[in-house]
Amino acid sequence: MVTAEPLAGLRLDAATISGAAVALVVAVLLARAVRVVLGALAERSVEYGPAIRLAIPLTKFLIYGLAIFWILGPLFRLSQTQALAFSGVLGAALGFGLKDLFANVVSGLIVVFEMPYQVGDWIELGDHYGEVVDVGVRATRLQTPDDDLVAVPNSLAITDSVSNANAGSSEMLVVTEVFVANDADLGRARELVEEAVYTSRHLAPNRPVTVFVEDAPRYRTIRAKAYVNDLGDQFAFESDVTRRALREFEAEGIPVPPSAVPAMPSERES
Amino acid sequence: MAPPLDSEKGADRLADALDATDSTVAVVGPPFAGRESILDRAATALDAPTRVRITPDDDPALPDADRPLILDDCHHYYAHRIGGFEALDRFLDRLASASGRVVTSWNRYSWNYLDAVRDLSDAFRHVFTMPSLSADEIATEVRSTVDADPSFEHPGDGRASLVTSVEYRVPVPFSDGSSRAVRLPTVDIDYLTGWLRRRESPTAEALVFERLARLADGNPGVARAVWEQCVASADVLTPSDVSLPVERGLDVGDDAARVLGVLVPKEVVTRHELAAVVPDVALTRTLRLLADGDFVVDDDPVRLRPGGLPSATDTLERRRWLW
Repeated sequence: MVTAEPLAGLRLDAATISGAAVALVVAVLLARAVRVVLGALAERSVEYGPAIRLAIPLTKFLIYGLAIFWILGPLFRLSQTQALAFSGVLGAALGFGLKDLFANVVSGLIVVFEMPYQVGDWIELGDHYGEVVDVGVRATRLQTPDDDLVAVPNSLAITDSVSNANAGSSEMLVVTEVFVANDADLGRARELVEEAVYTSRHLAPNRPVTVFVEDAPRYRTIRAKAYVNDLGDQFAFESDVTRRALREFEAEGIPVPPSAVPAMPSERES
Repeated sequence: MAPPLDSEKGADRLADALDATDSTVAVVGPPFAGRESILDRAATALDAPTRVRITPDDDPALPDADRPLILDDCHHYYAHRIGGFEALDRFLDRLASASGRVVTSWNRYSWNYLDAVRDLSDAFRHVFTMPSLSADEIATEVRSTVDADPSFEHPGDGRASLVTSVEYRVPVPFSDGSSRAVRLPTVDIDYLTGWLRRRESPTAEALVFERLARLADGNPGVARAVWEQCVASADVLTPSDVSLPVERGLDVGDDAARVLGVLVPKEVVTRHELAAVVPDVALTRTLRLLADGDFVVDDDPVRLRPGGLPSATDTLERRRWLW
């Protein structure tokens, strides 16, 4: 049992508590200011944006770390007995309720220093895919393509697999698939898809473009692999290439697989 | 004065490239840099060549190559849309089978794009590019073409200084995205460049042309446009009087940038081609916006203005739409 006596040396007075509160508020405001200023700078440059965004979580962790050190340093000038008692309290707290929080904080530190992803990257973490908008102390925030903001616990980055689509680069490989019927002129269809890629405004300059064909029993797939010049344009690029290629298919009479899915027997009966 | 040329491939000098009877030559330069005068030089060197300017028509001409052939503005052989490479592919096939000398000129941005997607440089034995001009070359160029003789002064106390100040807009956190302007001391890059070139404090005249060359990116056509504007409004010029007709940081929005993305690599584009390349842009409104901003001449065909080129290229480079 922990008694109050070993912690009697703690200097817990009104001034200490208010000082700690002010330090925390300043740290939070400073971290937000850093995020806004560096985020604004990163927005100005597509090319150097990822490098600038990289500094955001590092700076935040540094600010919070300094704030905690500043608060706890003078507060806990503990003797050996007090330190032992405090570690007992901390151990019990971690064991009972704060285990997950502690795991997330440590995982956040590992993410910041090991960098499996950084702010601005497009990643798949857990069941969620989106752009990393913040690496927080407890969670990583992802902006999904549907504009949802998802907070994924940092511990998932350590215990689960992370798929990173661009890994800090300002360009990203996007795969676009267009389907044609088995009796379509495959050579011409491939040419049209390739030209749709080459004439898309989202195509990154001077990066390789690959267009290849896959066969399947009911249709053939023309798959184009190309880099987009802005990470936010991956879906716009897919849409642009697909829409213009299909329009040319229609103009040139290149058949596409029937889009109607045959009804299931149970649906037909009803 | 004929603009200088750098050799990218093949012969070191244009005259050497024209010596061979079956040489194919590409002269590549940015808009308004004076590609035409390079081809004038080639026309003088060749024996009675056929000279054709490729125009932004739907079906550009493919002249026979039984005599020396000079083709201006070959970037009009393609359009940035599906099916827009057919005329270019026909031209390159014809070029591969040509027996005489063929000299061509290309917009640099179109060339970079077509070289990436169509291996354009492989079709030519000799490729020459037009480099940016220095301040002295720009001074000679604009004085030889613009009839004006202003006098020059240093601003303020009448002395040149290495230190100047710039306005910097600081994004303010926790506000509605507004910014605050502050003036920060900075090194005068024109003074520094001039001093490094001459090893002495540059005169007001030298600083004016250093600034002109820097703002125009060493492009003589752009420099001429800026110079005409400067001398039209002042008899006495200080370096700070030299400014671009269109501010470099101006952002015109995505639709207008898409139109500029077609115009900068082609310089002149018909409304029909623009409508085909950017079908989902409200063309009339967007061209009016660009014409009001001094980027283009809103006519048919639509023409790029030299004074708006640096701002247009900056806009496209920010979006990484320029090849």
